[in-house]
Amino acid sequence: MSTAPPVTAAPVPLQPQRDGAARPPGRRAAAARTLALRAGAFLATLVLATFVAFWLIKLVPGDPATAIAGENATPERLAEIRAQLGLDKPLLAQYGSWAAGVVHGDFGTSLYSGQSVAGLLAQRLPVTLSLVFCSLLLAVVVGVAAGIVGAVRNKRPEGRVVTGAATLGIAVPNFWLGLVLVTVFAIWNPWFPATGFSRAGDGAGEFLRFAVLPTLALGAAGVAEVARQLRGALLEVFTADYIRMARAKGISGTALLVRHALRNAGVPVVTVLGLLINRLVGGTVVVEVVFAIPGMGTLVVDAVKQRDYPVIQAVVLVMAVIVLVANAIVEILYRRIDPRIRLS
Amino acid sequence: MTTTVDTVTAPATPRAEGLRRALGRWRHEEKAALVAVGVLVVLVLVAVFAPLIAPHDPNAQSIADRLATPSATHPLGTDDLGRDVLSRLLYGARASLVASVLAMAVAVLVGLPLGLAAGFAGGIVDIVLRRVLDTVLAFPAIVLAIGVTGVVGPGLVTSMCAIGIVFAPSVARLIRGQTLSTRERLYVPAAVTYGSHPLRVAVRHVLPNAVAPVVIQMSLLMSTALLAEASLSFLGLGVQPPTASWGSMLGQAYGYMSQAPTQVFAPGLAIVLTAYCFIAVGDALRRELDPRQQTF
Repeated sequence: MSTAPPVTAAPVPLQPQRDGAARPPGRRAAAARTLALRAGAFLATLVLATFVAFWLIKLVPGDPATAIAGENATPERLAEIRAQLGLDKPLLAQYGSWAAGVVHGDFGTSLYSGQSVAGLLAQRLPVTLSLVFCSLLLAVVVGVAAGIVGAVRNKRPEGRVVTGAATLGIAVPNFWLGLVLVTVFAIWNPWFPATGFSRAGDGAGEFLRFAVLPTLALGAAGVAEVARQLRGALLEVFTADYIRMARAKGISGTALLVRHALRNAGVPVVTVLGLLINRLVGGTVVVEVVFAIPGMGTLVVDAVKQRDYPVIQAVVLVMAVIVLVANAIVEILYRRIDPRIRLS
Repeated sequence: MTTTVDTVTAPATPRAEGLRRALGRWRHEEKAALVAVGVLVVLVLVAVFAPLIAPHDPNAQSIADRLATPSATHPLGTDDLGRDVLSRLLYGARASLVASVLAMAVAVLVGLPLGLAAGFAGGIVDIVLRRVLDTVLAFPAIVLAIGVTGVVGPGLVTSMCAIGIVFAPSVARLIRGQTLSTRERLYVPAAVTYGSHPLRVAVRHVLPNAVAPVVIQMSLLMSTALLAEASLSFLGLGVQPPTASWGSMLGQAYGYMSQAPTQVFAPGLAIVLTAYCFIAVGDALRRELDPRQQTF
């Protein structure tokens, strides 16, 4: 989703209740029940996600075994593939054995290379996660700064420039930005490598040299998105009575912004983070292809070309799980920031 | 969201003024959005009349002229097969616009009934639908679309239907929230008391009053769909050769980037311009329909 509608912030009380203060026992039980419910919903979503990933194989037109082996395959080869994919068993049994494998970290073997899919994932996942993490960091740090400038200097030229740039930023496709960055900073000015990647564990300098351009390409839209949301939320908060009250009491400048305004504008921004992680994980696929980075994205794109269904299923599922877990963390953050939704 | 008085006789229509008056106001308040609308109209015209305005056949190859620099005959040069880049760019508007409209339409056609059902029916229907929608939302749109096209086979229609289905939950969520608050308006129980069928109440009374944010969302969805089509066609999973789309042109340009790096710019700028116009229109609609939220 390109631009999520801005989420409305309701004001946090100026003096939040201290945790651990005398809290009625009924509320603690209610909180525990809420937590249990949320955990149950999280698990249900995880299970549903495995269903969706499993169902992909059912979309193969005609017989998957023929699609894999080709029209001229021998009956023995077809039977072998069917047995390998479990296609000779009833549907629920197929799902059961697939899901049981997944729970134990067994995603089957690649139809193309014969390697274990879990092994492929273990190689590729850290690369993708490090790229997503760097882009998220960029999006939050630069996006928050830009959002504050856009809101505080709303009608001034610098605010307008930031605001316009942010709107333009979400219109730029990440992979095209990648192509432009490669053209300018790798072909015309050979400052950075055009393709490839170096793992974070193999030295920070090399990692950064390879990661700068992909991070910029992937994170730019995130910067714009965070800036837009934060600016919108701040502008709304600025009109609230408690801000006027704080101003009347003589609080101004940084204290007003940090203690009163940002705290209340934080909730919509945290919500955007959840959406942003989804977009970054999706965006990494195309960006990895542009920079030839050996991550999950290039893995799934190659798997699509080779009709390597187990790999496609595994990558789709793992990426959904990353997003789900990230969103669960975001929700926990959310409850910490805003005491009022802890119990709702 | 609007400040309409909550009485039985006054359903909350977002704004009761005519289109002409609204446009008149936009001429003063939303100049940028009007320009964006104009650009989009021009793009639609370009897509429709591409055969008349394109200087060359977009698929005519001429190996002798491959990777030519811009000239009078080829204003934007030629690609690796000697095809005229400007003509392909003009024809590419077709694929890109069709893709955006298709994905948006699928998202709304799937998401709207689901969201209305969840919000209006409530109870177990709501719980189950929300869980399913949340699950689909967890899949990054591009990844699921790649998965589906990887399994079903590449193509513009397949990939955009997949994108539309992944976008549907966001529409459903929005309409569900709106339905929940609209349902509390007095005219809804009133209609039920008159003996209207629940389906009629949902479609005739709740939906029209809950649909405004979806209109905003639609133009934003078009921009996202445009970017998604570009990504998928870049990867070779969207439009199939020799059909031109801005994404597939970028995919080809990527292949010979070291020889002709400038080929990367024109299709990308076309994507950015179109997506920006969709977003600008969406932002203006939001200010118009939901003035409380002071976003862009």
